Amino acid sequence: MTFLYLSFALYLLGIVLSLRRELSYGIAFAGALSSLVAGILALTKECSSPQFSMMPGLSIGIGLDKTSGIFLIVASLSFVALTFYSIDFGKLFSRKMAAWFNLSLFGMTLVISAQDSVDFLIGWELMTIGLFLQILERKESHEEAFQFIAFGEASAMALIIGFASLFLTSGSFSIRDGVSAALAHSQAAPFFLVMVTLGFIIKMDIFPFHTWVTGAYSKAPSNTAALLSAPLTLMGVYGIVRTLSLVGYSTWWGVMVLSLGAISAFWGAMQAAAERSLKKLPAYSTVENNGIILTAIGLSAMAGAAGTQPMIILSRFAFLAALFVAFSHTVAKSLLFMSVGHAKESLQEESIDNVRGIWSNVGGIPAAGILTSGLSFSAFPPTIGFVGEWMVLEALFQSYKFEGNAERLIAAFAGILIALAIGLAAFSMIKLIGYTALGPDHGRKTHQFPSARIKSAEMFFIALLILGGVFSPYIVRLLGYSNFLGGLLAVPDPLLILSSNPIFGVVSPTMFLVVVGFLFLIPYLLYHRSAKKSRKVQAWNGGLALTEDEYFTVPAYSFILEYVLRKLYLTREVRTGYTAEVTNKDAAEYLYEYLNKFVRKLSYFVGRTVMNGKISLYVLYILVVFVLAFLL
Amino acid sequence: MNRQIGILDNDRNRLLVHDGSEVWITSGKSSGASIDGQLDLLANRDKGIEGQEVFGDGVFDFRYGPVTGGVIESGAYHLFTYGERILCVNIDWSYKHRGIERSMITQSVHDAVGRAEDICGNFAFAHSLAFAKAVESALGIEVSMQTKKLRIIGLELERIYNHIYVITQLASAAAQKVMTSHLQAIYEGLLRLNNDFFGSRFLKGFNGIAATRKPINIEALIHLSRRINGLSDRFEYLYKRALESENFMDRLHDTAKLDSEKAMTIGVTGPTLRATGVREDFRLHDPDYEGLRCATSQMGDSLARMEVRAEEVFGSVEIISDTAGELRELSESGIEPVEHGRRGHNGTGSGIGYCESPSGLLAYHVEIEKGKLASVYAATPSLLGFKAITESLPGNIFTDFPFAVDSFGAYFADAAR
Repeated sequence: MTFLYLSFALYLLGIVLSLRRELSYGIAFAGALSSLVAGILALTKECSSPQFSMMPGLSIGIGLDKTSGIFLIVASLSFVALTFYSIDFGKLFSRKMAAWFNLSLFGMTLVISAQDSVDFLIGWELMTIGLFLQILERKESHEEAFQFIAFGEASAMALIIGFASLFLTSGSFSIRDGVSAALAHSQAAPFFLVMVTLGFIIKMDIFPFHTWVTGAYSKAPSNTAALLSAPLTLMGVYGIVRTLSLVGYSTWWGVMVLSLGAISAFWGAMQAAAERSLKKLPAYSTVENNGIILTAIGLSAMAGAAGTQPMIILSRFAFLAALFVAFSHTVAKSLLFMSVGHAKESLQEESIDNVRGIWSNVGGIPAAGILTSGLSFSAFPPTIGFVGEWMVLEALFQSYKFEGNAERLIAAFAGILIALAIGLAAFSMIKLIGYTALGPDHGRKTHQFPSARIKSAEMFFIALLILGGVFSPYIVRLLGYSNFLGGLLAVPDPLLILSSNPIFGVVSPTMFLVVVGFLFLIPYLLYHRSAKKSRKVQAWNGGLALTEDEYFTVPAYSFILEYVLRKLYLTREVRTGYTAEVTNKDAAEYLYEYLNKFVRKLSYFVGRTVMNGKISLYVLYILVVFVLAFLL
Repeated sequence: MNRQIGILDNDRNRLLVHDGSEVWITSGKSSGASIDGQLDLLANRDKGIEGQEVFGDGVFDFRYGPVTGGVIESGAYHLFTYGERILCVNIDWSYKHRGIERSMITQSVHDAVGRAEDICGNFAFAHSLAFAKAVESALGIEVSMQTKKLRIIGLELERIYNHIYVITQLASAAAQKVMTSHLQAIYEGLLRLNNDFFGSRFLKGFNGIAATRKPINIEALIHLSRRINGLSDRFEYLYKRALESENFMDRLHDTAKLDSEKAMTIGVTGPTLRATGVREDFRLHDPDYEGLRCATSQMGDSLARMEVRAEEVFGSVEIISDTAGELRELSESGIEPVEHGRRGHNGTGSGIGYCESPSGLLAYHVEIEKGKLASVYAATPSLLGFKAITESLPGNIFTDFPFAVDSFGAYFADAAR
């Protein structure tokens, strides 16, 4: 507990000392390290603070068990890199940013360590408010910030209602062990499940609650965008996992979240593939990744609910897959936002088209950051993203094990959507990598700022993404899933990850690196020996060098896809005189546009009929509301 | 409707115009010009078609050429696009400009015939014919009936192999491998036939001023009829099969569509115009082409242009067979032996000569002083063919490009001269 207390204390100190930005972020870095240690220690030993009884059924306290320890480690890794990154990056923004940054880290740490729903909700609101204030950092970001807070508060409302039903059922606000038996058999369990799931999936940017992400992510400073995308959505995953530990598995809930997850994964990947903005593309990638995580959790719940031994094995493997994707997403997305933020601030540009040539004009490290994270999202071995997505697909391939045809069909259909999502994600990441990190340098001037710690943080996560993948069997063991490890033929135990027991599918990223590394080494050495004989020439472009307006643009890259899927993208080719462009619209936005219109009309109606200045009507209105509130 | 095809002076006062039946010179003010920017196009014909641009998010210039697989000659297409959809087209053929007309000045009319042939290998005979007609008109030279008949055979042979070439290109673009191979064999057969009877695979060095430049064996023309009919039968079989290929037809149907009004406004002639339903062919007004069937189609797309070309192949085969027979009869009757060789033509004058080349009207205006050329102006069909490409291609997609461009039968060498 000492390290957990210390991290809270350091975050508070960071808020107090926010006038000195570097120091504030430095203190936050120490806080993140402290929470990382607390998480690691929690894997072996649970810990808990003293409980403060506030009222019957409500005891407030914090603590860590193995589940929260795992999530705290993942979140803290992100905090460590982002706080260190922000020591330099934060200089580009105001002093109060450091305070809000610390506040959101405090809130997230409280969410993970909360033992009761009140603490949980306090942490939930603190992180939301902290992030809201960070989004406001940029000028003209009010609309995006308010969209974020609107969804944030919708999430909080759903959770409050859910936790209230929990209290009514179990007589306790505890979200740890002890309430599960009472709740699992309660008729209120479905209501509780639906409400808290709604609250958490809103935070996970799941379709159709994702529409705020593009605006908020693109307007927020990149370190904040990383927080929004990686640790914040991780809190949603943690909430879902914690909820499952309270009520256990049920088929209907599994089908519901599996379907939502698969649709979300496909939708996010599809929108990312057509995205042209440097930060909106990763934003949609977040929708996709959280969809994949939710799908794996849903499959785990469906299999767990079946109860037979093979299905329990599948359930555990699907859950392991969810943890892996959550880990890989947190690391890769933090790295991606750090790298694109670095490039964006250096080049002062927003669109992918305008930040070409990062490798040569901004630097090799941010380019390598985009490259590595992009490859991880593209499921490129041996990165950890590859391991996570392999696990999810392997789990879905085993849908034939379900006894019911409906479950089989649903899981198989989810598998199709996930496979499409992974393919589309690779498409969008190749676009991002190809244009930004490895694209041709157009000689744009860069804005210089201190970046030693920015680069260090990026390098740390580049290494983590690759090494995490290579040594993923050891992560599997650390998480307590050693039964999914083994050895076969030349692959020694435990370097082989098994997707089932008995064996269904296997992968060994460690051996992949060894074999491919060896196979790569031989031609590389041969090439190196004959390197003097080779000469580099420009690619042939009809016999002429390309002029500035002849480079293939980002919209052109994805136009065919947009045209083929024009009914989904709502693609319009707009031609006005000498100008032309292609526009797409996220169909989910229509939902909120209609909602917006309805609320406006309702407000107008209420304003005209009730709150129109007639005191008698207004008093009647107050009376009715009072009586209704009293009765309810 | 009068349409300009050339500017004969720097002040744009003397224009070469036509009405679909004949070509003449008129003053700029009284030309009945109905085509916006047409004179600018003619004035810039050494460079290409430029100045049309589209802007917008993601719009870029996809340059195809000047030395690129798929573009046979040296020239560049600038396709403005936001990806796949072609929004606007500029064409640069300046790489191919050789200044051939200027190089003909001061040459004797006989020497200049070869230069005219060099403008465009595919239309070598049509160039030599139009040029020779211009010279003959300028100097008031009469041409014998047998020479006229031989010229008809040469021009129709050129039409046949050009049309087969265009259809081969279209089949190749649609990956119709078997059909392409067969068409290439027919094309090669036609070039060999040209060589056997006229001494040149591309019909060069045969036509001259008021005579042929080589002697010809009239008896051999009987074999010409037989061989060309054989090749035509093979082509007919292939063509009918091609029309049954939905895959092939789908690539041509609705591609690079032009309506008749647009085609007339552009000023394009030949199969491109006839594919829009306009019955215009300069051979219709030539008494030597009595009873000519003018092939037309209505749709104005790449498929319609292919249909017109195919019909014209069959029509040209008939013309050649008939003309060869007539020539043999003339020869047997002993009237007017075929003239060949060079004669002294040292007169002075100016004249216009034109013919219906495989891709449309090809006209020459020449001024001659004492047998030497003082001025030459070649109005070629490809110039307006390219204009038609720039007008019809927008809205199509990249994969339509070869089906669109090849169907017009326009060549950089012909336009750039």
